[in-house]
Parts: sequence; structure tokens; C-alpha cells
Amino acid sequence: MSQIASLGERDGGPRPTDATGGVGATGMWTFLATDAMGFGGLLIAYGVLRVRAGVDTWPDPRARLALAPAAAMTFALLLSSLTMTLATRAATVGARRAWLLATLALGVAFLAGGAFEYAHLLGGAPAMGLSTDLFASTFYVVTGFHALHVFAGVVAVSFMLRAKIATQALETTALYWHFVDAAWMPIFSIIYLWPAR
Amino acid sequence: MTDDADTASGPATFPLLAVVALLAALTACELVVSGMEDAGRAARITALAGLLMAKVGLVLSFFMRARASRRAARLTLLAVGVAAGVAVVLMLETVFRVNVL
Repeated sequence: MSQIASLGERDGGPRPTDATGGVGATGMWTFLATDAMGFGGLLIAYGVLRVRAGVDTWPDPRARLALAPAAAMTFALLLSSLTMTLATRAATVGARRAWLLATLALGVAFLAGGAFEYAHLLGGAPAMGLSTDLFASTFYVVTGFHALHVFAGVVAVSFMLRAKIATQALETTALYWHFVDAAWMPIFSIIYLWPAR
Repeated sequence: MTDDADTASGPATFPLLAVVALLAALTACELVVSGMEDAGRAARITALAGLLMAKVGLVLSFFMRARASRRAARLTLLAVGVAAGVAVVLMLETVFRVNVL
């Protein structure tokens, strides 16, 4: 066992587990697999609607969406995956809490960025409401679905801030958090970046 | 933190930092490719799809450690992958249906 894990045991930090993560990880993988199908279904629906609409009808995402805030949100999620991994490997409770707080802050920053973006789109001129057109509807549904996942992750990470948490629980939460990061990647690429024409 | 060889909790810190830097670089590439309006739409979408697959692959490999997971988890992933592939093919077939008769 590594020095880090030994220190963790001595200092009351997370207890080590095997690399597989145990039964909890298998359960989480199964859940993530079904959840991935949910994201996949939404993105396929977006793709089908976009293809059906045709090149001239579908709006260019760059004309409607601000890329800079979305890119900043993407970087925040990337960094949060790193801080989450470092939290699972922290030697002491204090270090683990620090990395978890960093993860929490980045998750909240992502949600704040999303709320800012929604406010900007809804209050802009012309405003892009949920029922403005198919692009708007699918945009809000897909990004809102993902934001709910981030929110759930933020709640889970908040629970992990408690001192006595088994390593397996932390690693299972980390698995979920990384999935939320991975799920954002196709959303960012397909909805924000793929050109309509 | 140490940079020891892989521990039970995953790869050492330096490779993780490198992966995050690579992911950030790939995201920057996506932004650049997306803005290349001189290139054709199909070329840009193909490049963006490639970059997307690279990014998701990196997260699955280094953060989620899909390869190190239990056999049951891998089988679950495989089953879902096959199901998703079939679903995509069926939906694309619906979208691009060609009437041959």
C-alpha cells in the first residue's frame, strides 16, 4: 500500500480500497451507463431535429450563444475533475476537505456560469425563450438536464465534506463527478461549436 | 503529494496534471477549429468530433479509470456501447432514409 494510503489511515483520512472501487463502483457504473443513455437520447434528438430542420433553418450557435463563458465553464469542470481526483488521494482529512472545497467551488462556479448564461439569453434582445424555436428548446433541455446533474454532484460533494467518509463512497462520488465532466464535453462540442452552415 | 508509480487510487499527480493540460489544449483547439470559417462545415464538424472523442477517451481512461474497473463494470459499458451504437444507426437510418422502391 502506498505511503499516502498509510498516512490516511493514521490521520483518520479516507481508508484505502482496491483499485476497482468495490461494489459501489460497479453500481455507479451501471447507473452512469443508464444515465449516459439519457444524455445520448437528448443529443440524438437534438441531432435529428437539426438535420430535419435543414441548413438554412437551423440558427448558427455562434450567433446566439456566447462561447467565452461556455469555454470558461468547460475549463472549470476540467479543473474540478483534477481536484476531485486529488481529494480521493489526499493523505489527511484536512487535505481532502481542501480539495473537496475546491471541487465544490468549481461546481458552483459552473452552475453560476450557466445561470448567468440563461439570464443573458432570456433577457437579451432578441430574447431566446424556451419556446422560441427548436434550437432554443433543445438547448435549454440538454443544458438544464446537465445542470441538474452538476447540482446533484455539488450536493454529493457537500456530503463528502464530513470527516468520516469511507474511501469507497468518495471514489464512487468521484466517478459520478467525472461522468458529469465527460457528459459536458459532447454538449459543449455539439451544441455550442458545431457550425450550422 | 508524490509522483510515485500508480497507486491504488490511480496514476501519479504529474500525469494527471499533464492530462488536464492536454484536455485544456484540446478544448482550445476546438474553439479554434470552430472559428475557422474558411474551412468547410463538414471538415470542421469532423475535426470537432475527433477532438471530442479524444477528450472523452482521456477522461474515461485517466479520471474514471474505465480500464481498471471491475469486469462487471466493463461488461456493462460494453453492453451500453453496443446498445448506443445500434440506437444511433437506427436513428440515422430514420433520418437519412432513402426510398429505393
